[in-house]
Amino acid sequence: MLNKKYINFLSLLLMSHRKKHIAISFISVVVIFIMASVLFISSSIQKDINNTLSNQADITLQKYKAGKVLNTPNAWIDEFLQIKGVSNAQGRVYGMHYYEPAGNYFMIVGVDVFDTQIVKTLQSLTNTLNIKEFLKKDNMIIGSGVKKHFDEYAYYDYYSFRPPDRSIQKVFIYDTFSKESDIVSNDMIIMDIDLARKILGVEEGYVTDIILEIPNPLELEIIKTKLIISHFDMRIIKKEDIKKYYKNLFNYKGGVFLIFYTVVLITFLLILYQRYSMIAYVDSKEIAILRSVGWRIESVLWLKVSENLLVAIFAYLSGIIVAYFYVYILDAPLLRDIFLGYSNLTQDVSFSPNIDLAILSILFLVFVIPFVIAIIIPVWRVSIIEPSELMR
Amino acid sequence: MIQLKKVSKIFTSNTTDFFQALHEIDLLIEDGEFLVLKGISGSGKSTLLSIIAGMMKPTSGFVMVDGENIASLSDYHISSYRNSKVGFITQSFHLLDELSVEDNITVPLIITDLSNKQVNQQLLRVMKLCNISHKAKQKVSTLSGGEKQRTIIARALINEPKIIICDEPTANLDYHNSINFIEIVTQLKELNKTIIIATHDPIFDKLEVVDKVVHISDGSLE
Repeated sequence: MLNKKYINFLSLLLMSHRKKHIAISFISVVVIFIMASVLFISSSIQKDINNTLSNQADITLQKYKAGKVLNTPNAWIDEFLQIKGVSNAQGRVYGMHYYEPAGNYFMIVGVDVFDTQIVKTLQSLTNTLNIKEFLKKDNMIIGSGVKKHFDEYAYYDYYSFRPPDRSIQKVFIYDTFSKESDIVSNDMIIMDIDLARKILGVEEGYVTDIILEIPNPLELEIIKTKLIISHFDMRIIKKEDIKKYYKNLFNYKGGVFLIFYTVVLITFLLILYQRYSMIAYVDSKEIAILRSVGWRIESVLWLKVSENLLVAIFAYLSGIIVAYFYVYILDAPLLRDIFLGYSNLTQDVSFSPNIDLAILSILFLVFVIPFVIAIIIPVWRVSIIEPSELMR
Repeated sequence: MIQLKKVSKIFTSNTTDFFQALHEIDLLIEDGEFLVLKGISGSGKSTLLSIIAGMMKPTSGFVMVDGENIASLSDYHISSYRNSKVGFITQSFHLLDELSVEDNITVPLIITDLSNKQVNQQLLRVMKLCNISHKAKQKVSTLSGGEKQRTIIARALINEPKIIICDEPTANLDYHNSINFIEIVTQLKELNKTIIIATHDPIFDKLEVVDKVVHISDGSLE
C-alpha cells in the first residue's frame, strides 16, 4: 500500500492536521530533549571520569585514627616498595584551600616534578612542563574553574595564599588546564611538593597520603591484605572504589532524572490517550469517510500509525538534535550544575561528545512505541464501529 | 441483482431497551434498475440503504448481492464490496474539508492497485460527468452546497460501482442543484447502473427514469 498515491494522501493529511501535530510535536520534542540531554551529559561524564580515573594510582593509602585522616609518615613509602607486586610508591601532598572571595574550596596538589608520576595525567603534565622554568619561582598550574574565580577578582598573574604559619605566600599562575581535558581538574591547583607542604602546613617527613602502582590487577587483593596486616591504622582506597563512587553518584543523579522523565512521559501519554479517546469530530468524520468508501480497519490503522509515526520520529530526531546542541555546543546550562554539583566549584568543563547508540535506540523505543499505541487504541475503537453509525 | 430476504434490524441501547428499525424486509432489485424508496423520517429508509451498502449488518435475514450474502462477510470482504461495487451518496456533506476536490474524489482509489495514470483518467472522467472539473484544485471547505454534493457524487462514482445508493441526496440542495443531480443520475441509469434513492423529495415522483417506487413505513414495506 506504500505507493505514491498513499504517500501523497499521507502528506496531505499531515498538512491538514498540522495544528494538532505541531502542538503534540512541541511537547514531544521537550520530553525527548530532557531525556536525551540527561543521557548525553551522563554518558559524557562517565566517559571523562573513566578516562581520568584510569590514569589514577591503583591504590591510595591514608593514615587513619579515630575516624580521622592524619598525615602519613614518609617512611612508609620505602616499606611499601618492599612488597612484591608494588612497582612504585609515592607520597602526595594535597589539601583544600578555602578561597574566601568566592566562598569555595580549591584542591592543592603538590607534585615532585623530578619523579616519575604514578598518576598518568600528572606524568603527561610534567612531561610537557619546562621544569627549570616552572621551578624558577613559586608557580602553579590551575584548573579552569580556579582560573575563572581568580579572574573575577583580578588575580591574573598570581595569588597570595595564607599558610597556617600566618605568612603570605605569593604563587604565580604558570598555566591553566584545558577545559576539555579533565573534569576532575576543574578545582585543582598543581604546584611543587615543597611549596604545597608549606601552604598546607604538612610537616617534613609526612605526606597527606601514599599512592601505589600495581601493574598486575590480580595481585591487588593480595597486596591489600598485606597492607592491612602491616598497618591496621590505614585506610586503603582502590581505584575501582573511586570509580564506583563516581558511578554511583552519577547513576543516582541519572536515576532521579529517569524517574522524573518517566513521570513526564506517562503524563504525556495519558494526555495523548485521553485526547484521542475523546476523539474529535474531525477525526471520527475522517475515519467514517474512509470506512464508508471501502477502507478496511487495518488500512485506517496503518494510515494513522504512519501519520503519527512520522510525527513521533520528527519529534524524536528534533529532540535529539536540540539536546546535542544544548549539551555539546552550549555545555548544558542549568543541567550541568545539577550533574556536576559534586565539586565545590561551578564546573566550567566542556562535555566531550559521546553518543551511545544503544541508549538512543532504547529511548526511541520507549518514546515512539507508547506514543503510537496511545493513539492507535482510540483510533481502533472508532474504526471498528459500523460506518453507518460513524456517519451519523 | 440485489435480493433482501426477511431482513430485520434491531438497535439495542441496553438489554431491555431496543428499537426495531426494519421488520423482515423482502425486496428484489434487478441490475440496472432505478428504485426510489419513499417514506417519512424515521421510517427505516436510511437503515435499509446502509444495509444494502454494506455499512451496517442486519440483525437477521439475508442480503444477497450477485448471489453472495453480504450480511455475513468479514470486515475485509465487506470493505472490498463497499470499495468496488457501491457508490454511496449521502445528504450530509461527508468530505475531508481541508483537502481539495480532486483529493477528496480519489480517496477510494488510494487503497486500490490502480496506477497514478489510471487514477487520473478516472478522476477526469467523473469530474467531467459531475461538472466539477473547474473546482478540482479548490479546497472543499470553500465550495457551495451544490458543488460539495457534486464532489460526493464524483467520489461515489470514481471506482465505477455497479450500485449507486443515495440517501436523501437533494435534502440540502436548492431546486437548480436538485435538477443537476437528476441529470447526473439519469446519465448513470443510461450506463446501466443500479440506482437506489431514498427520498421524500417530490421531484422524483414523476421521473421517467425511475423503474420502481417502494414505500416504507415503520420499518416495513408497503
